[in-house]
Amino acid sequence: MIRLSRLQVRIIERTAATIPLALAVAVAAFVLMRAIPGDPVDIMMGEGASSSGEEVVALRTQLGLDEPIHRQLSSYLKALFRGDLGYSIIRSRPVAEMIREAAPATIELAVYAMLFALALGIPVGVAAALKHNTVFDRVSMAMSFIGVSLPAFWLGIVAILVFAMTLGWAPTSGRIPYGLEPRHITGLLTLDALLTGNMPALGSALRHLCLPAITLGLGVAAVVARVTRSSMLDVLGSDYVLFARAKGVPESAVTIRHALRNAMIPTVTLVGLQFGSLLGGNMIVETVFGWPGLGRVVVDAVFARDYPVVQASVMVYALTFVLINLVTDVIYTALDPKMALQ
Amino acid sequence: MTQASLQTDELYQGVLTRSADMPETESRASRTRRVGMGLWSRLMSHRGGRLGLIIVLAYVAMAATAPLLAPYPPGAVNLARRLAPPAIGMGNLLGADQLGRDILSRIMHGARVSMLVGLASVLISAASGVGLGMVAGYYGGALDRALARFTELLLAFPYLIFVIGAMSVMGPGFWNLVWALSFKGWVEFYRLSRALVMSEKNREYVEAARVLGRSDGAICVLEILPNIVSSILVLGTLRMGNMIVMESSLSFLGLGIPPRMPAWGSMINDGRRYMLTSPWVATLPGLALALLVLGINLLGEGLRDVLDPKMMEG
Amino acid sequence: MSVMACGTISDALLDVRDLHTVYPCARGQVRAVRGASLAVAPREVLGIVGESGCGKSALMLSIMRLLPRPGRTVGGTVRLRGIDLLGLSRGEMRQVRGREIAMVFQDPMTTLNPAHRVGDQITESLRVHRMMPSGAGESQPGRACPRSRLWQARRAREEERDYVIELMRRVGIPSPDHRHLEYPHQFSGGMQQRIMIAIALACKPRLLLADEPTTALDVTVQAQVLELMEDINREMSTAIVIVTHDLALAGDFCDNVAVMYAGQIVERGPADALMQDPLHPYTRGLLLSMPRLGSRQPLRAIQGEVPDLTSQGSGCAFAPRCRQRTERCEIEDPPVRVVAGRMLRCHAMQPGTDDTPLYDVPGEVL
Repeated sequence: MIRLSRLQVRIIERTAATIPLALAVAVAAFVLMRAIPGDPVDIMMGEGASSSGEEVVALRTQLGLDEPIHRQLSSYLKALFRGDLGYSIIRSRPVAEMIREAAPATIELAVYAMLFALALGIPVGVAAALKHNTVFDRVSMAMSFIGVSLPAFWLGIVAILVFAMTLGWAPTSGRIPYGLEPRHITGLLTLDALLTGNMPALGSALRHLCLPAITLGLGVAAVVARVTRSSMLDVLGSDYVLFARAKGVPESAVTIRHALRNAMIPTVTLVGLQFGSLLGGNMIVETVFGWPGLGRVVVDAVFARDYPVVQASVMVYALTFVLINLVTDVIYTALDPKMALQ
Repeated sequence: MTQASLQTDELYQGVLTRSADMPETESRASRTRRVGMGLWSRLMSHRGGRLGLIIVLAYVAMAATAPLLAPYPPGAVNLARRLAPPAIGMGNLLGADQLGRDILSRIMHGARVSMLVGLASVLISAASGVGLGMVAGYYGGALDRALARFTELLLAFPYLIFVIGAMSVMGPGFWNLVWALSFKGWVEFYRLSRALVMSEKNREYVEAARVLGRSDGAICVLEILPNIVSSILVLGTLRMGNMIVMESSLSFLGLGIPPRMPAWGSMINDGRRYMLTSPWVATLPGLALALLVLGINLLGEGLRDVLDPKMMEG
Repeated sequence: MSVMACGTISDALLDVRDLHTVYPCARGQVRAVRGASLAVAPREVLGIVGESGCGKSALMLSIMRLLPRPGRTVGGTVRLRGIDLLGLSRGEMRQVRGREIAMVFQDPMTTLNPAHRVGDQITESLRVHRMMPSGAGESQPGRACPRSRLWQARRAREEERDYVIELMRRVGIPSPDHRHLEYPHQFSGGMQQRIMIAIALACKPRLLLADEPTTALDVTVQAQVLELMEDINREMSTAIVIVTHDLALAGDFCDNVAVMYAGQIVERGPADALMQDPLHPYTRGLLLSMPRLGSRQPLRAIQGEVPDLTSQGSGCAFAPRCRQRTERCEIEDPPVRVVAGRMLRCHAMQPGTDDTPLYDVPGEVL
């Protein structure tokens, strides 16, 4: 018998539990699109176009809507396992290809937004907890409150107006000017630029990332700051911090060695959850900033009534979220000292 | 959306600490009386809550009286005053959009739509979520387990994606939007009320009621519900802000309510093109939205501060 | 040890005089410690007894200057070997904590950091106060070229480890050579408390403050931990102040006992004498209310309630509940006096004025 640590057992458990969920998500995406009242074909045809019987029937056949529902479901699932996510009606391309092309842009944006959120939120939260009830504390909490309340798309528009159009500090849209792209390795522009040593591309990509990442990340930063602050406050009032002080440990060591480590654990969970909202929010931000990512693909598809794309995108988003939750859970478990032992 | 799911976590923490400290035997009647009395005055003395309440009431008033008080009909096209800047005294107080429609009036009418959508979605979500949550929490068993699976599935979909997906099939429309928002929104109410019911059902006042012969349904509604209503209220207030933002986001994308009705989101979208020359077209509706959400969040936080810790004092 | 009369001790290890500590709160100020005074001689074991809320923990925290944020000490002196701790800078006080005075708390499960190994938590004490167990770190005398830094560092770490293992063995933890690498949750409650004591003793402090150290433990384990503390008191000459609500424990274990009520020490004296013949009405009430094994007499309670510590009332805090109260008691706060070899704060009780014998007044509530 192989001896596994508790941590490893837990990882396997959680992963195994996720698989049926992933399957259910795939089915649910299908059900969502088919079972909701409203005929996509009608909507596509609607809007003034004369719907000749033949065109309608042809469209239905193309979408596979003429088959009984269980047949549709099984062919959908079979295709899924092959990696076939359907075929875009509007663009006449496999959906999987479209998603693969657009995904790196979204991933890059989400990662930078999260990095920004953590870089801003955690220090502010820790500082606010340490300076509890001072001006800094109140002001930073007030600002984070506002940050949570502001709608991201409006913030983005205002940011473009102020920083891009008026002050000219940042470009107004897009990811990188045409012709400046680095050689394609991963699709993540900053990474690719770094790997190929292409400094101008790196600079340009980062400049383009600034506004969208900050817009997207600001709301998350606010939440991170609040949670970090409250969990730091909890920990700072805990018995073991009192005991550490009673030992004569200097405040800086108390903060870093004793408080931070235990206070970060809720933040980790939060980061995982917030990634989910980042995924949801980036559609808006991508539209505002003209970012060529998955969010834009979805929005364009919705407008063009390109249902296969919409359905596949919904599923991909959900699966990504499930995956992120799994990873977060594993990290949380690894951090919890009770779990980290044999 | 990057709206805070933090508040729910903090609410859960409130549940856990509450159940450790609360007196177990107080009757429903005296507790309700105690909570009701002085709640208003406490809210009023809470700075943030007071401000939030004022803002929200102002918006409600604006929405309710829009047909009467708006200077212009919201759809009145006036190409002569196309893209007029905001000016006091002369016509458009907040400027006019690309079709010459008065922005102030459209903002006022937009408030009606947004608030109605938010209110309807929250009410439906709360009613269904709390109802199911109480049943699942009280009885447990197969229903609880099935619902747990179902909610886990629903939660795997980020909110906006889900709603966009649903709306793309259903098409724009007020009730479509409300339905789509509620279909995912009830989950949080479900989880909260289920957790609360599970911690309350072992309390002695419930046992006392059972001994007296009360039926399960009566216990749930008459005994337990009044004790959890405050947390539900806080959650509902906070979520309403979320839903209003989501409605605006969808209107921004053209997916929300039918385009004929003025909505802040679509106004912002329309105004994007003119950002450099006439920024007020897009900025002002957004400001109205931000202010409303800020007020709602202040109110919700104020309610939470006032309700939960006071309940812990026993 | 004979009792210390306040005001005349210059060789006391710890001398607390007229300490006042308040916690500001929404309803006003909670005066948690209202003019408490006590003294501890070297190697003495002093017990502080009182109900919950009487301020005993606040007193301990005030001595260590570890009050949680809104609380502060607003009056009095705390002298450790002559030096007023309240006047020290924060850095200086930090050096006192853990090294001159150490403190252990009630619940070791929450007091030990769950994320750090047990051995590391003991070592932290050493490192913070830079106490190399044997003074290693200097070059060996007589060597032409001093050993390399790396070697010295390794030597120091080995010495630390040995010291930690020895310390753990001393406090009664089995297999310390393995177990010092383990985490707190892997030990039982009694063991955890021993670990906390080991941490406290690492720098060989002269005074150990123990805030209800055995309250969270089973009775049998309690006895073991108390025995350990007795050993330490004897062998390491460490004075101990133990805070407890258990009067019987204090009577058995301590040399002297101080009784605390509503933020003041109302009586202090040798344990045996105080248990046999309590002078202060509150002490008498406490003793009378202790259920006695084999006795069939009804339990006697002290009527009334603990006073509201936010009130500024004058007069003796116990007066509302006291059968011996006089008019003077309600107006004037009783001063500290030495009566019959004890410290006492009471107007009414004077030697010879009251010969109500204990334990044989059936059915009477004091």
